[in-house]
Amino acid sequence: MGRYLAKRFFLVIPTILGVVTLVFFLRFLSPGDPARLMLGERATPDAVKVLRAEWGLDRPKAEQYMVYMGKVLRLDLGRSYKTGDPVIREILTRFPATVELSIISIVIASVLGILAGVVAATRRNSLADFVAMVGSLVGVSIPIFWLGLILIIVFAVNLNLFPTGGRLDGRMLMEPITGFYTLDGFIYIFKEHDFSYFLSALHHIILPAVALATVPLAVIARVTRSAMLEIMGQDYIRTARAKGLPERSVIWSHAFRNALLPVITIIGIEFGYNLAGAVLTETIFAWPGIGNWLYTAVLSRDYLAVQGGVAFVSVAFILINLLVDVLYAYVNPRIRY
Amino acid sequence: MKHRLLAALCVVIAGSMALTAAAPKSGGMLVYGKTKDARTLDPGGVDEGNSSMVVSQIFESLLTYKPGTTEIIPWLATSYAFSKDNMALTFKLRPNVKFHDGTPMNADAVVFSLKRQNDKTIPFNQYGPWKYWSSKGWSATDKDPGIIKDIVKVDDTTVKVLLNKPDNTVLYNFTLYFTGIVSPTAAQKLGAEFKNHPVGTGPFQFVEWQKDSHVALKRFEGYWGQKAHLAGVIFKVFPDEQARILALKKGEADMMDPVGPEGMKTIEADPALKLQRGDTFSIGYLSLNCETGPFVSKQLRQAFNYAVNKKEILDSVYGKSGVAEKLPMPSLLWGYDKTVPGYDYNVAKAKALVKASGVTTPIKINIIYLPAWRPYNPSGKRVAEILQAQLKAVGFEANLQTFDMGTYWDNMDAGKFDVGMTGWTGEGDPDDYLFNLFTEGYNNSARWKNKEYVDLVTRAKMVAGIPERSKLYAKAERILMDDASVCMLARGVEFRPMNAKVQGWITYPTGKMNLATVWMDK
Repeated sequence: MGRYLAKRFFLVIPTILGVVTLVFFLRFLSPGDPARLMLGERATPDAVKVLRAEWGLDRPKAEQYMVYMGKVLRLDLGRSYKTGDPVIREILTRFPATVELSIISIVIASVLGILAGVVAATRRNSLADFVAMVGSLVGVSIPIFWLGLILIIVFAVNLNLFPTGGRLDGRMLMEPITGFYTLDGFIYIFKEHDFSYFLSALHHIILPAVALATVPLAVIARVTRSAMLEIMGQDYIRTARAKGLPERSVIWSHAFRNALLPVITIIGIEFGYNLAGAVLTETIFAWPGIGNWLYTAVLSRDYLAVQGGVAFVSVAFILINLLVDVLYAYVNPRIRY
Repeated sequence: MKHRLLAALCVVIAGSMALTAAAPKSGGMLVYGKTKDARTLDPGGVDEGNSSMVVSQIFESLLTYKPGTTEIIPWLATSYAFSKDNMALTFKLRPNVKFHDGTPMNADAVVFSLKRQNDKTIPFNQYGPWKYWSSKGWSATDKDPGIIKDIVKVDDTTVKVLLNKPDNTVLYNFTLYFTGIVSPTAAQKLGAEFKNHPVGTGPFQFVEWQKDSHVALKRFEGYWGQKAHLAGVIFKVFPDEQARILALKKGEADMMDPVGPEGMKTIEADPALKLQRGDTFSIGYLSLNCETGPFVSKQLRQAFNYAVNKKEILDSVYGKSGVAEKLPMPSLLWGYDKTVPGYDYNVAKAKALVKASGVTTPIKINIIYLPAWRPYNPSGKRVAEILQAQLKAVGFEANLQTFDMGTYWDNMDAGKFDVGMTGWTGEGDPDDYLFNLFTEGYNNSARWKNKEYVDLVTRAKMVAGIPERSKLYAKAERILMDDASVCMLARGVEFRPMNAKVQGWITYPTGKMNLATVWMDK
């Protein structure tokens, strides 16, 4: 197991270098000069020339690549063209917001998705199955930007149950401790004897987390249903029932545990997707996370930010996959590495 | 007796109403909903509105504009004067002004704030880029020594700006963000971090900046002038316009960036909200490529100008968010000669000019249009579609094209168009339009060349005084209009949504945002 993990971990390095190389050269296919874009309408040919030289964009591609990779190997992702701040700092200041939103949304999606999938599989062709499957079809098909706005209009504006966006009440200022606002708010309960930060953080995360959970929820429900259907037809399930085990025990202890492998895989993948940037959800709910930042960086051709951001997200994605592999062994002890 | 009583009552009621209207209330945090986060909070690095709106609350320049006008008045300076030979500009500084960190604003601070943007011997220079300074032609290049020779301290309250050549346009630049005065103590201590923890002399001081989320400011109690009414301001980022409007409706924001025609309808329908109309210096126009293609012909350029029904475009695309302008500069600005003949819609004249040009119709032209909303053009696509129909009537067959914003500007710069849609948000001097947009080496997208015109606008930089400069600009404007290298569309008008309780907002046509006058009627 240890050897396997070490091997997987070291495979991360060439993967990252490959991703960074790919993104580096892909940028030459995208039109638009970052210096020109950065200077906007006020750009004069001379000013563009000066800025291009300053950023090294006037150098040959191979030279630019070597310089960049040299820095990456020294763990220096460069500085954002837009702000001049180190890319790694730009990422780290936004990453907790994305991780927090992703965790809560994946928890919502997993709990509800698994429940819906199990109910649909155990009551196959019933009304519950029909509702769960139609619901999941709608869930994967619904455009997030539309759903996000509808959630805001219904639950924030008309019913006044939730705020429209942001991570905390607009007039509330909180010095971040971990960067995870719900956790920071919780710490503030003890530090300041004030519940308002925690409640506000929780209040703000619910709508975006629900919006972000729709697609993973639908996918998890469908995968759980099909995995459960396959398992429920196995001989040992019939045996378990024949032994007179209660149905709840048959479903959860015998069937579900064995159906869990594909479900864990899909949860890991969906979580990875969320970390890579829930661009639309973050934009609509004014959530200052990595997706929103990466999207803006792409639009403004902030290449160093895009390259650094993609590399960082790739590492996160690979590590999550690694974690999923470890979980396999835990869930199914028959798996050996 | 009855009448007297009634009159007295009316006076009392009117008086109390006037008092109510005139008395701003102190306190309250204003949440301002903005589209994008700031890039930097160091005034020297500011070159776009998302940063400048925050920076202009924290920092001040030596000069400013009289609220709501284009009249330059001293601010951190108490007076200014050009030398007789126009080679030096002397500022007398306001005494007893303190930075937010308690250090004094004096000649050393002014010299540091300005020279750090150009003088490589000042260690802070490495934290650039100082884009605005160089875009103004202030620094030396291999072709030119640059406009600014040196900035020197005469005494503690006097600073002299020495010039390499006479240039009156230097003056208005001291109203702009990039000439904002920073605390040298804080800047030298913080280095690269100064742009994230700014210290100035403005009515609000910095509290915190959480990237892509918000910037928080609080009232500066040691402010030298009239203190701000608000206890603080939070600039909160809402990237999506719909979500921003919903946040305003719900009271999570009190004020926000200007909206387009669709957003205006939503705001108007809500009695708790209001729209504040404001004139801007943003002009939208079409550049006709004078270097290649059919518009090398002056007759065809004039025909094009006569063929475009600007009123139709204004009514159906801009609506209330634009007003007609004849010249490619705002009529609000001095130097705009209203007597210069323009191009009224006249199909017969356009047809006659096309015929006189000898070019066979249909004349195929390529129009590239803006892919996104700009303050001077609400919808490039709709403008292009209307143009296509209007031009057909006089014999132009227009092909419409657009690209993503990056490619779009590349194509505009490279002259890959017959008609290019563009615009400009200028500053408070005609030079920023008439020189910048129509001389080589600057933002001359039409690639128009006219020596007589260039001589006039170059001389207008050098002579002193608005009356003398205006005369030269009037002559230049006639040449510009007659040669018809551009076709004016409109000047943008902004509609800024805010809660009805927000009072005291003043729109500056130059785009400056001053929240010190704003207060909340609770």
